[in-house]
Amino acid sequence: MQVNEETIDGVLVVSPAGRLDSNTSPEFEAHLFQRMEDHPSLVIRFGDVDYISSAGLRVMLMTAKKVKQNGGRLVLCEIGDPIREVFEISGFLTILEVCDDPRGAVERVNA
Amino acid sequence: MQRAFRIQTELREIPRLAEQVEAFCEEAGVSMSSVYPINLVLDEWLTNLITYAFDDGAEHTIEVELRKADDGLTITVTDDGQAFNPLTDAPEAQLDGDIDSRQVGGLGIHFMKTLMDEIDYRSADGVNCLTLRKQPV
Repeated sequence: MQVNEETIDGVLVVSPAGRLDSNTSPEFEAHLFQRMEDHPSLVIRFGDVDYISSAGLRVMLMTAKKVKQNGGRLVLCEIGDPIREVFEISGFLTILEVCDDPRGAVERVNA
Repeated sequence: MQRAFRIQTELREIPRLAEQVEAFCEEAGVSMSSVYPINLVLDEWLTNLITYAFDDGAEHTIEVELRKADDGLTITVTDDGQAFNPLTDAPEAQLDGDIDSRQVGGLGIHFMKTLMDEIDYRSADGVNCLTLRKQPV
């Protein structure tokens, strides 16, 4: 899977693209866990994700647990429909920090 | 209108099937807003089957059939792996709790129950059949 990255105000913003499913999620999880070795806080941008299943949600939960252990902060952004609905019916919108756009997400991390 | 797809027991079949399901839905006049939930529920079920139901080393196939009628869409998934009734054998999904206590297990079946209107599962003579209905689509 394709993963783009940029740094905004010192915060790593990770943008996966395409499908986050049982095929691609193991690779994306390994990528994020490698990045977390150097970046205690992360922003993940969903603007280029067009599909997520429970396998992708599992990666978000594992990442959130790890970021918390590291004392950092995880903020997700640009979650459009219908992906937002998958987060919603999973109850994930109440436990994960979600913001509209990357800049706002970075501000929260730096707050 | 109806169409059947035969897939191998490999995860990489799932995105390929998703494209075929989308094409079917477009031809059959199923609203595009129903395509994501249909593909999500199929993905979750097939991922479960492919990951857990075929551990005897033998070759298996899974058949997926879609049937669109005036009263909605019927999805049938037939397999010859280990039986697993999503209505009685699956743990309840845990939907609350904080980040530390949350687990993801059971979410796929939770999606099925939330996004589909009817679920039926039958297993006889080594053949398992899951029937899902969504209406209207």
